[in-house]
Parts: sequence; C-alpha cells; structure tokens
Amino acid sequence: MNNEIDKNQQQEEMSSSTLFVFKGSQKDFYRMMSLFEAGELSDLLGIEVLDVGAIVESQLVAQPKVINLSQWFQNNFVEAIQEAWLTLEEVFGKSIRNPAFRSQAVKRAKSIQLGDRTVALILDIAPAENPEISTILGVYPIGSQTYLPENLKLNVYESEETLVELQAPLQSEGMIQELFFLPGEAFRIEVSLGDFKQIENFLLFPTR
Amino acid sequence: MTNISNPPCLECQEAEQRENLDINCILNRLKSVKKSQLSSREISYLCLCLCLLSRYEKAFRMVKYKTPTIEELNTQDPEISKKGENLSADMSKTVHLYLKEMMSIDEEKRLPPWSKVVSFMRDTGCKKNQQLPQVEMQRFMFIARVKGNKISDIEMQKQLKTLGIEIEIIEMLRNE
Repeated sequence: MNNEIDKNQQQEEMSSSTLFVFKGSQKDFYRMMSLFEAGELSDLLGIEVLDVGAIVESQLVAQPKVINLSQWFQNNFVEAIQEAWLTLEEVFGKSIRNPAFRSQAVKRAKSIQLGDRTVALILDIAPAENPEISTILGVYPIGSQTYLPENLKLNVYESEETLVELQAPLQSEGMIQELFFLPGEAFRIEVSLGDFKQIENFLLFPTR
Repeated sequence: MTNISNPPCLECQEAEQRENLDINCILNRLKSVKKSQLSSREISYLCLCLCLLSRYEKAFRMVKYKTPTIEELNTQDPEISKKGENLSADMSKTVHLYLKEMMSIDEEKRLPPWSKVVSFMRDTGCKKNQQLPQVEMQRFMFIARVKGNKISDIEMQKQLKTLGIEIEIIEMLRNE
C-alpha cells in the first residue's frame, strides 16, 4: 500500500513541472539558452531543464476576452462595457471628427493606449445580405490629436488568414475598412505601434 | 509569390525587431543554398527560432497561429508538444540543413544553438541597422521550464548564479 502511494507520488513528481519567468540581461539569456541547447544546462544546474526561451512582457498579461458581437444586436452591452467597448460619444466626447459610420448600425468604440499615444478603435456592425454581417472597422486619433501616429498598423485575422493589413501614412486622419463575416466566424483585430500592440478578439455566435 | 524586398511575414518582422536581424538578407542566402525560395512554413519556423523562443512556444505558434500567454505556456497541451517534436524533426531535414551548409558546418554535426546562429547572421552581414532601445538591451524577459515542483525560486536563483547568470525571478508557475 505504502509502496503504491510512494509510486503515485513519484509519478506525480515526474509529470509535474515549474515554469520560471526571469528578467535579466540579454547576455545572461543568451548564455542560458546556449547551455540549454547544447544539452549542458541540466547537468550544470543539477535540475532537469525541459525548455528555455525568450518571451515578451505582453505574454504575462491575460489575453483579452472574446467579445460576442451577436449580443450587440440584442442591445446587450454588458460584456462590451466590461472590456471597455463604449459608445462613440463616451470615447470621443461630443465632437466626433470622423463620423464615417452608419446611423442605423450598432456602433461601439474603445480607447487604445499604445505607448504614449492613444487612438480609438471603432466597430460598426449591421446585417448585410442574409446571413452576412457587415463590419466596418475604423481607427481614429483621439483627444487633442489630429492625425494617427505614423506607421500605426491595423491588422485583422481570421484563424491563420490575414484579412486586413493597413498602415497609417503620414498625416492620416483615420483608417477605415469594411469586412463581411458569417455567423459562427471569429476574428482578431490587432492595432500596433512599434513594440506596443493591442489585441481584440470577436466572435459572431450563430443564431439558433 | 513571396515579396522579399519587405519582410514576408509577421514572424519575420518580429525576428528583425527582437534580434536586430535583416531577414531578407538571411532568406536570400538560404534561397541560394536551397536553390529555391523557402516555403512560408519554413520561413515562419526559421523566424520563430531566430526569435529564440522556447520549443513549446514555437510549436504553439505554428499550430495555433497566436502568441501564447504565460498560462498557456505553463499548461503544456500534450498534442502541441507532440506536434512540436514532429516539426523539429521535419525542419532538421530542411531548414537546419540549409543553415548548416550556409554556416559551413558538416551535415552530420548538430546545428549550433540558435543564439549562435543569430550571432553568426549578425556578424556575417545580416544585421539590421536599427538602434535597439537601451532598456530592452538591459532588461530581457525569458522563461525556463524545469521538471518537478520542488525547487524554490531562491534555490533556482542561487544555482543560476553559480553559472554567472544573475537574474531576477518575476513569476513562478507550478504545473501539477
């Protein structure tokens, strides 16, 4: 009986692992990675090292929730508000400089901080030809800014496929793109500026 | 067709930024070894390796097409790990071979650590002339996954110090 418990404990110990997150110099990382890849690190440390690799700070932050856009059509914005998707007026104030959005559509905006710059991402959704959903995406400067930061990128992905790849030119007052999705489809929007990136995930639940 | 005047993929841009590499320069060299353009899968794998990512993260990104969070790196989906092993075996017959030829390394020998491959690329002219932010050079984030759940952070730090590696441990996640 005791032997069995010991064996189980041993098995648990064998399959368990610990992940350490380090901060250090690039030189220290290179040394550790080289020793690991050369198969020497475990012996030198006296601990079995299973994997080593670089990460970026954003990986430490939990991924944003997937927003169910179907709820927006039902006038349910509870989830949207939790993820800071607000009305255009709440994000832009009373003076929206670029109201290139449809009056009959469901519209929400989110303020996005990318380093020392802030932009607004706008989503404008409306039923198109059944069962398609027309989605207009926009990125606009916010607050006192007149133009988007140069080289700001807006990418949209559906699974592995890149649907949109836009880059703000010099003195751009905004970027806009229309896409069509079917119920059940999911997509990811990435807004990035240099090393700063904001990811937003969306899903259009199929109607039952 | 891949346009090689601009980095052809997101992973390429990432490798350029993270490791200060000129990916087009590397791809052109490998193209002359392979005698044809690398496939998009080969390019993605190569760039993820040049980013010096962990084996699991490379597999995760090749399978799921997204960057894993630290929790996802800790959870370790066995299916992804298996696919990672297969990926590495596949690429050792292609990308690793082209690199060895490019670096004048005998086919029978192992490919040097990826950090050495990165240094080789930079030293032989595939360095991107961009100024990396000073802060990034000083503070770098990386992970190590070790077997078992008994080792403490203090012990780990102490052991690494014996190898001259002085780091700060900012998080420790157990996977039971």
